[in-house]
Amino acid sequence: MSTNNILEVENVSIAFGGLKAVNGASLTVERGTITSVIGPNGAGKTTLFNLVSGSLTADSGSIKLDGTSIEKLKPHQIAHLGLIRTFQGAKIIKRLSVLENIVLAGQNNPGEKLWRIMTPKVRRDYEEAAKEKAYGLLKEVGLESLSDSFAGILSGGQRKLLDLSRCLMADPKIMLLDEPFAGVNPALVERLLTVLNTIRAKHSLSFLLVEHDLETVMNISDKVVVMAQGQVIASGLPGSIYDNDVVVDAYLGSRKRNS
Amino acid sequence: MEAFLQPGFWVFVLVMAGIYCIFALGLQVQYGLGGMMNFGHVGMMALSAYSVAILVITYGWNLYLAAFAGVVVAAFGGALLGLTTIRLRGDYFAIVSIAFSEIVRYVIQNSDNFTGGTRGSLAIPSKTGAFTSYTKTFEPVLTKVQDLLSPILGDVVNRDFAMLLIVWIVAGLLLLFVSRTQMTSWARVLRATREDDHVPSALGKNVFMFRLQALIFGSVIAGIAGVFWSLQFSILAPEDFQTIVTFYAWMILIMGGATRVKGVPVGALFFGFLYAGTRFFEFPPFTWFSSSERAYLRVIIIGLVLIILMIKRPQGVFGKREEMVLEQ
Amino acid sequence: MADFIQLLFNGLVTGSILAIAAVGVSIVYGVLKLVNFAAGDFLTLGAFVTVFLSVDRHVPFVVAIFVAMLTIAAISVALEFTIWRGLRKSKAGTLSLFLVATGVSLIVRQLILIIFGVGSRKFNVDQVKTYQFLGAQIAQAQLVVLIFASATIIGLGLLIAKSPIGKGMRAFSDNPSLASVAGVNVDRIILATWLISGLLTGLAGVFQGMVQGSFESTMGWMLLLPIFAAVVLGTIGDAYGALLGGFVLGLVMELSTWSIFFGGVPSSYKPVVAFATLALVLLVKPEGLLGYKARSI
Ligand SMILES: Nc1ncnc2c1ncn2[C@@H]1O[C@H](COP(=O)(O)OP(=O)(O)O)[C@@H](O)[C@H]1O
Ligand SMILES: [Mg+2]
Repeated sequence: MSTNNILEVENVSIAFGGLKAVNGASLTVERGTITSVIGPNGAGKTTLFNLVSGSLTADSGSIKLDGTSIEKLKPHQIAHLGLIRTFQGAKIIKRLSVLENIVLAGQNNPGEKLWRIMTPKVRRDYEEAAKEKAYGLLKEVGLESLSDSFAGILSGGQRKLLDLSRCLMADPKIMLLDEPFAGVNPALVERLLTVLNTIRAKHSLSFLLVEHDLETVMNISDKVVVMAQGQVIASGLPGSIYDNDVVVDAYLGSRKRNS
Repeated sequence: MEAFLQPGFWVFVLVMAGIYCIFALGLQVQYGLGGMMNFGHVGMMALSAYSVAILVITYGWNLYLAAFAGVVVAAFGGALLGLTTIRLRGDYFAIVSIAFSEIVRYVIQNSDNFTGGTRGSLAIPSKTGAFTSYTKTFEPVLTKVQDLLSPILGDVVNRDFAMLLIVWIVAGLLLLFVSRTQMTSWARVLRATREDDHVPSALGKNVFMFRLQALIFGSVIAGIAGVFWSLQFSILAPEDFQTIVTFYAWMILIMGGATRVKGVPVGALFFGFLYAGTRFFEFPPFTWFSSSERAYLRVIIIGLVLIILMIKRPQGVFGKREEMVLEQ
Repeated sequence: MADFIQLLFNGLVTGSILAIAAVGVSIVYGVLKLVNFAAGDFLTLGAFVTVFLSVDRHVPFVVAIFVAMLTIAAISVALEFTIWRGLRKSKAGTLSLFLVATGVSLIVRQLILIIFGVGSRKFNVDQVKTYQFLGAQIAQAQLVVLIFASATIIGLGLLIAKSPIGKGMRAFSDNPSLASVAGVNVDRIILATWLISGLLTGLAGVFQGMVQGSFESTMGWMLLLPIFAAVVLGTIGDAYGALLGGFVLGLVMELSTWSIFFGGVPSSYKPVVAFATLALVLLVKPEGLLGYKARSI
């Protein structure tokens, strides 16, 4: 396998009771690229994310992040290695301010050690730098005017923007975004896409996206992986997906015939 | 009714309020910050209070060293509870934590040769064989404080008054320390975990360790309350440490508004006066009951106050409604 | 061997009582997401009402038991209307529910003390008569309890599996929003839940009183820990799990006193054994015996 892969998922499976939610799925993400996983509801996309990010432990299979095996690690350990994920529907901490939501994501914050109560200067220095950086990230997505409000008051779209900048605060190597465009109006989809493209250029990041709908991610994806019933049924360049018979039958079929 | 007019009685009430203030402050760290519904808090106080008594009486330790050890034992109690239960869901955690404190009490009650069993700390076997009071070395301290204060404040100053001063000074320092810690990034992570486990752990926070720390921190504070409890009463009995004591601490926390450190002393004073005040219900319908029945009535009234509070003002007497709403 | 038979039998008796009480707690949790701390004290109340009617007022024992069960059920339903419904409407969180339930428990216990006094009480049942069985001594009261408790458990199992109310309860605890969409009458399910839970709790109290011989106001509280342990062990909210958990704990508690295990645990430590068992199981399987896997931290 090419060493240029930031993420390598090989043959992972997990079952809930009798249901094989992910069944021998494999995929790779090349450094600096955007890979999108698409598939109908219940295909196992979110479960695959949970496996990669450590929220669930796979029954079998291997997952490598930048060459390190992570399939046995806990979510926070995987995050430390540079994989940061979002959750479907943008989970924000409602009772922290918008700025604090972002500062929360900072890594190696000395103030998170209880004994650092004894070294106020170290804490304060980090905190000031972190707040400045967080504010900059908020500016990138245009939320700076809300920085001191409770995040609970944000609209759905604003939450997604906050979620994106929060991930960036952690300086990840790869970001996993679960349906970042779902339930978002077309204007905001445009905005999110622009933000994503800027981020990608500026922070030289790799992405793994999950989307329900192929059209949305068509233009920004370098590679598309199609899942159905827990299995990867096809992967390749976005354009090639339309020509794949299996995919057409399983997933795109009805729509293609209609259009 | 005379007690009502005696300053000595109210001084005692304030001492108790101070001890409860410290005790509830431990819960504030665990629940107000970390969202952990610890219903076994009294177990840590029992561990520390009994450790003090046993170490001094049976092993002849210096009282202050024993007090320190008592707090350490409470911290270990918190760690033990945490290591086994932090991964559990909120309601499981609450149930298992109650069980923890009840087990502590059962063990105290049934280990006659070690804790004095049902006969309390008076029956703890002493090193010398003769009866020993574990507070013996503390009484001179109180006398000294009294001697210092009597010339200034006059007659009010008695043993309890000296105790009141010490307890509230410690409570004040702890309040200050805790409100300090609440401004740190450590506290921010805990606040986040209070709403959701997944987000902080996906951002690289070891939620388990943060919760464990908060639990141990709160247990240390409960341990300090236990030391004062043991000093105030000089005699301990297993039934001092029933689950109802944890329940009182919750009442204090809720009255003050659970997420605010400053609410704790206010809630503690409020509770102290409510608890003591119900002693003076010497008018009908209360006079229809015998004095022992009135003790039961007092608990009923406290239970009712809490129920009404939870229905009418779940954010506490002094809390903000929005805090509860955003929590949903 | 005789020891073993004896303890096995004791375990079955304790287990059947725990199972009945645990189902009462578990269905309330399943349907209402409420951990009923007052269950222990209602259990005591059931025993006290029965003793009051049958011993003090000479009402026939069986009639007294039914009246006691109905009393507990009626109080449970009354509390639904006065307290729980309002709390649900105002979307009270887990903590509020916990604290209110603890408040109710305190009040009930004090009321028992005021109304029935402090002393310990006894039913008018033959405490002396015992049967010999494979070398074990089996008290008549125990045997009667085991027979009637088993019948109750079988009836209960059928009720939950087959009756429309039982099916509705299960559907509702699995997925409240789906169940109410699917036309399950939510209010009726909730009332039925309180009713059944109240009847079971009262009955468990009488059974425990019979087995114990004499009992006082703290009987239910002492039993509450093992009951909760049974509920959690069987996965909170799962009625069949609670039955299983009850029997498992009953057997573990009694067998732990067997002298071949390092001389056996002193019997006053039985509740500790119950919780130690629970802690062990939760360490291995944090979601209870019958639960699903899910990990967050
Ligand atoms: N924790 C879980 N327990 C049981 N079943 C689950 C769990 N998580 C997901 N599933 C099931 O696994 C399947 C895949 O779900 P998911 O990964 O969320 O699909 P997608 O994100 O592609 O819509 C679904 O049938 C879902 O019901
Ligand atoms: Mg999904």
